[in-house]
Amino acid sequence: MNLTRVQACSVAALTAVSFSTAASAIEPANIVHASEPAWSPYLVGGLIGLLSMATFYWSDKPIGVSTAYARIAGMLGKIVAPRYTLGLNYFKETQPVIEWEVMLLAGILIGSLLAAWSGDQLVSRWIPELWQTRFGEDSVIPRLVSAFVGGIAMAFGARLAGGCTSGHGISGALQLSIGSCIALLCFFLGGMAAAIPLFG
Amino acid sequence: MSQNEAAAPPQNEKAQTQTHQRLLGLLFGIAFGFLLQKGGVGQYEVLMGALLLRDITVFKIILSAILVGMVGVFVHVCLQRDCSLRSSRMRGHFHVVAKASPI
Repeated sequence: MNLTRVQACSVAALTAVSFSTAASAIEPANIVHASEPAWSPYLVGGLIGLLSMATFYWSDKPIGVSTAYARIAGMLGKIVAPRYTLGLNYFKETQPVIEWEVMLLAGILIGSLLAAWSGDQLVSRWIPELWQTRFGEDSVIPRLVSAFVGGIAMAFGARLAGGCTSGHGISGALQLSIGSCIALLCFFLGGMAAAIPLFG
Repeated sequence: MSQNEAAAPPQNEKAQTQTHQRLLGLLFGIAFGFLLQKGGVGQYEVLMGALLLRDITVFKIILSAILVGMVGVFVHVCLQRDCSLRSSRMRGHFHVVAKASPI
């Protein structure tokens, strides 16, 4: 068991070192616009590739979050209708418990908060600028409704496809899975088909 | 390192392994979320920019992640084939790749 602890520590140390070196090397001195990415996209992509190797090696898992949503939904279902939820075939295989992937999801929230906080990117507003210029300042409720409905559609679609942008788009595509490559292409085609009429 | 782990872990350590994996998941998640936000893909404008074909940051990130991660997967597959290193832990994802790509 000491071995796993050592591994966890080495992962933490490795990521900390790579972050600090990367940050000092690449981070631009002045970030003028809030929506400018803080780090070079190639650096971030490369580090995500290394991270993906680490998750495969130490956890035998691909980076991906859509199963975690299903598990959390199952946990809520257990509270409301325990017998029905646990009777579903899906939840017999994918048990609605907190495991690696649910923790990954929680970590993503914490990590992005840390990144935004350390990079002065924390903003407090209900609607994004792009939405505001297109739909006006008093479009908070339409934005919240569309985000909620869009979230449902995204979760449904990701489960239907068996993965999300991370699961298919990164973890699947880097194994050269044909299904994942098609899914990645279709994520963007579907998004464009919705975004271009709305904002174009 | 890998040989020690593969040598039949006792049953009562299973729960402990799960706790460690949860902790690892949290650490990996923190790193992933941090990178996503630093890369700008946590921002509405950047994501919409990709869908409106005005900003290719998202594509740069995804494609370079695929490029780097792919190396690890295929190095692993090659190692596994020659000396069956860590074969007991790495079923699933990699076996499919190994079978599907005859050399």
